[in-house]
Amino acid sequence: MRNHTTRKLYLLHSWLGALTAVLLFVVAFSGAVAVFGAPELKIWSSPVIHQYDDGEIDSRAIERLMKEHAAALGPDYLRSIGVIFPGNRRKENLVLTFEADIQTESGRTRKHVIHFEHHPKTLELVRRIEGSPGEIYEQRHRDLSDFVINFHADLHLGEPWGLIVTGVLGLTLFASIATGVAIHRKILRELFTFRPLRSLRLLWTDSHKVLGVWGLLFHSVIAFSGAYLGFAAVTLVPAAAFVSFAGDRQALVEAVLPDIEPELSGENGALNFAGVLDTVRASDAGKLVSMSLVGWRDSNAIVIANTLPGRGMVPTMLEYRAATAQHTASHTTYGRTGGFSGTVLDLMRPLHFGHFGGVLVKGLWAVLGIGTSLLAFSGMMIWIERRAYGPEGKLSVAQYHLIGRISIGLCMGLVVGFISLFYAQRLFADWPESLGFWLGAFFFGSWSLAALWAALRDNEYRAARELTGAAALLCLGVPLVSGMATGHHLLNALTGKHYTVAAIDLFLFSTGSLLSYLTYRLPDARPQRSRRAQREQWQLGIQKAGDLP
Amino acid sequence: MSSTALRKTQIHQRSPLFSSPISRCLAATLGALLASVLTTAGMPVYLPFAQLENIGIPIVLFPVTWLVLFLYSVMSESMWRVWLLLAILTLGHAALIFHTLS
Repeated sequence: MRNHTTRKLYLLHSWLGALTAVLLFVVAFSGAVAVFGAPELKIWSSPVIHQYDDGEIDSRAIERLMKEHAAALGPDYLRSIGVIFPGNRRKENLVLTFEADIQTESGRTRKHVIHFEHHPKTLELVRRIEGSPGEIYEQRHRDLSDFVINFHADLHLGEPWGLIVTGVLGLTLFASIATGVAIHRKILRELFTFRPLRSLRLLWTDSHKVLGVWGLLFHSVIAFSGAYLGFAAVTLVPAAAFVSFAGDRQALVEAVLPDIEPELSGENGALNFAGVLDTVRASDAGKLVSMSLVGWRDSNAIVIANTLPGRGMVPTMLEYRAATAQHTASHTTYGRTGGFSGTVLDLMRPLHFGHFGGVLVKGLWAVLGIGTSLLAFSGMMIWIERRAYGPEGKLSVAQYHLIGRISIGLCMGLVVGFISLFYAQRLFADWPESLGFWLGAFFFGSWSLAALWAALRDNEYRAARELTGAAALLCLGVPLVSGMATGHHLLNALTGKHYTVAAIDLFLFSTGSLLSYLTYRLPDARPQRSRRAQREQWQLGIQKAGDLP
Repeated sequence: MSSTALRKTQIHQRSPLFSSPISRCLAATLGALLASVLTTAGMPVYLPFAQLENIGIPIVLFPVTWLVLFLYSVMSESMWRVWLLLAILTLGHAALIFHTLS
């Protein structure tokens, strides 16, 4: 009975993995890159913010800009004023937004935003756009950083389908982990079993087990939070609103999210926005992302400062009185929900993206994320290996080889696609309006080309070797092209203390060197001796333990 | 016939591990997802906690709810029990939601 259940779990684990492995690799690998999407890749992408540090923009200069725009726009646009600082999240320039409620022809009220972008060093006005919040979002300039983050979130399929796909992948990873734990009973022994030189089958199975067991907690957290993040916006929150708030999603949002609407007195008050900014910068809160002023010139006006996680794990909204710069309250996104669910919901995003604890945690998350992608890839390779050379499977060996080449092409092609994004960013940065198009063309073009190339090669070893070589060459070329395009090369980035730029260039160069070595070492075809030995091992394994792993 | 090919033939001749594969696939994919979404939406109606906790806890537990239903749909020997459970959860929570909104 127990053997029967284990066999069912094993079959479920292997088919679930085979059906989702390539997509899981895509989402996990893109997640590992997206960990550094903001601010690291944003800083690398933009020569404007290469030299920027958020402390450098003088608080009084920001307050002066705010007052100048406010005077020009008039009282209708002073309901809520936002300031978004460059670098820390998703912006290249210093952004000031002014929001008004305007009446439409049908008598309904809608938000209208005027959005100013100022150069972070000279504070010169670079761009002014206006429209509804959605229209402003659509007019944003997309760069490498935005492309990577959005690709991980919804695979560029848009809402709701992209989010549903990534949510379903989170669920299937969760199920793969549960079934994997159930069928691998000797977990402690598998922690230390790695035999890379014995045979290809053992290399894949040991890698799969070692990656799975050592990263078990991380994979589980990523699967759980990924499923939540994928489904929350498109399914769970609308469903909860539908039942508990009679379909009013806005009412649910207002009930759950922090209540930060001030009770305005109607009396004039002083505005000390610069004082609030200085207070936040001097505090031990995390890095400042944005601030908003609610209640212009009212004695009860407040300023909300949105920060990245500082000492804690959760991003915090700090509330200050605009007149006196006195700190009055701190909020987290789900702080009002309280209890068990509020705490867990607040932790979902930081745990998924590794955005707490600084660059070391980000590095750890990226390494573990690559572990998750390799877990999916090694699982797929085991599935193919067992069917092409083992006792399972109904297709011919040639058909399994084709599946192998396509899988390798899609996975290695994704790596090639991500590296090609760095070229698109450098070559088309001067055309911000069309940069988004070129990023997509480089990424999807090189990915498709690599997948097609692998599918057409005569064996999967040659395909893997050639694509690894292509990825190596592309990695090694990025610092060179970057230096030629911007004048910021590795040496002057280091001497000019542009450490983020230098670190990314150095990382790409060392990855390129490592991949070059791998290309040199990888075989061009399956070793014949190993194939015979593998068949013998399979038969030995079958005699000893039936056809279970 | 080689020993590997013989082994493959023997495996294919065995009785299948999973009965009613099409019905099981439907239950494990669409059935489990629909039941878990409706359960998540309907649970706030009867949970005994504060209003926001009643909404938050089912949302937090959504991946677990789906996993339990998915594994049960795949592993259960009896498909009619699977469909019965999914139907009870789906229709029961749909009725609760309808009752609350009407």
